[in-house]
Amino acid sequence: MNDTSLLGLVANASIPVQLVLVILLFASIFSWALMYVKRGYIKQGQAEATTFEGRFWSGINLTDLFAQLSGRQEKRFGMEAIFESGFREFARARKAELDDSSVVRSAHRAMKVAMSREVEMLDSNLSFLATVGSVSPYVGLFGTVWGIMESFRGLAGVQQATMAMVAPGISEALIATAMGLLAAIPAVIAYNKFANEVDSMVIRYENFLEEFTGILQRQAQAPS
Amino acid sequence: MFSELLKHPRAMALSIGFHLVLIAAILINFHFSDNTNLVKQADLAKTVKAEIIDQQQLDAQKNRKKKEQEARRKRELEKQNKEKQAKAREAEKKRQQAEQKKRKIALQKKKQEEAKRIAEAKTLAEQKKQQQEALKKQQEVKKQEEQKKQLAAEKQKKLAEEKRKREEKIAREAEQKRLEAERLKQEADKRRLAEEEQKRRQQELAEKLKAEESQRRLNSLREAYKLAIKQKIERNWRQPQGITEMPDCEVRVIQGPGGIILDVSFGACQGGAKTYRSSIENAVFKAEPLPKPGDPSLFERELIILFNPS
Repeated sequence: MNDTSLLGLVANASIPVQLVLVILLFASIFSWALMYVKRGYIKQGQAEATTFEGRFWSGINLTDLFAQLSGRQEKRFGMEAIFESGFREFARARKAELDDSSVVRSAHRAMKVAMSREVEMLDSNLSFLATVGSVSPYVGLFGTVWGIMESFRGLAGVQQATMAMVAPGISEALIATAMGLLAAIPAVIAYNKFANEVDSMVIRYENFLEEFTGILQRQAQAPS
Repeated sequence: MFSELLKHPRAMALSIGFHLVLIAAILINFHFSDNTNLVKQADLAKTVKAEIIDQQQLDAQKNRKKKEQEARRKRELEKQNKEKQAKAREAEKKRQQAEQKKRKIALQKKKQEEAKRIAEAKTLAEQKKQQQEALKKQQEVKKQEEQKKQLAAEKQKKLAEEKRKREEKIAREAEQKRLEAERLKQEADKRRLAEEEQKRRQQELAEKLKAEESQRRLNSLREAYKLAIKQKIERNWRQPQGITEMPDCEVRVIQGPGGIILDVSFGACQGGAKTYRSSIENAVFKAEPLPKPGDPSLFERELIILFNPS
């Protein structure tokens, strides 16, 4: 009981409190790893969108751009993927000699599908961060309440109660709340930041999609 | 989520490393604060011990000095004792002589005292005799007074007896009055009960009459209901052509709520031709919806109607 160092308190804690601490530690580790991965994805997506928009509006022939993209070995993603699927569908529909409006419509639909796929990739697993952010304070609080309950229960059978008898128990219980907050705060901050960034990426993709559809419409009406 | 994390072992490693560093930082921080506390406690312990040692040395010196002083004091005491014993022996001799003188004087005093005592005893005896006589006189006076008191007490007793008898009489009269009152009350209760009984009977009778009345009303309503149905069916009946034989027919009609006809069948209908029967059936269906009864409790799902065209 005299061991008031952090390690001693944790080692002396009851099993439920220790379990809570372990759960929170894992939640924190996973949420930090996920933050790192997500940040990489979003940064990559933003950089890709900027470079592709630069190439697209540089006045290059769209057929050439498509040939460059489809000739590349690595997998395409983000705006490139949207452009590629839209242009491929457009070419296929024209070969099938459909009328102009349905050619543009089918290309638009294909691009929509590609966009939703990209957005889903950006969006995936963000819910885990939200869950950690909202639930881990409660888990920590549960550990604290349990610990305090235990220490008061120990007090019940004693004639003369002193602060020194409950203080270590409460201190050890409060570690659980601290741990819960430590896991939750970064997760909430990261979730808000990422959700915001994903939203702005979606708007960027949608703008590109509409602009590209307009270009395709003009091409379709022009004699091939 | 885990599959994605497995694809990125670098991220997992970074995260775990970050947490280890964080935990280590927190632990070291706590460890330092603990060390400062321990150092202070050790210092306190040293000073306390040193004080204890000093105290012990001082105590030993004090003990040695005390012992020497005690030895000196003992030697002096022995000398004094010897001188005292010599003095005491002389004093003893003097004391014995003085005691012999005292004893003689005491014997003389005793004799004088005995003479005094005998004289006092004589005077005491005389006094006692006088006192006894006085006591006897007093006792006689007391006896006379007691006799007087007894007489007075008897008189009082008699008076008390008479009083008691009078009171008993009064009590008896009161008891009789009370009994009378109770009897009256009981009679009143009986009368009241009888009245209530009568009232109850009258009420019951009234209720019975009412029930009979309502029963009669219902019966008449039922009759009217049946008649209304029968008349409606007969009104809707058209006599088929070329039929001469038109016997009375028992028609069984099953109706739903609101007088909708669900089924029509025939009971006793001897000699009725097929066309005749179908004309009756048509009439029943035309009479839909059947009239409503005056009281909803009179509604009957199954009706048996005696159809007579005449």
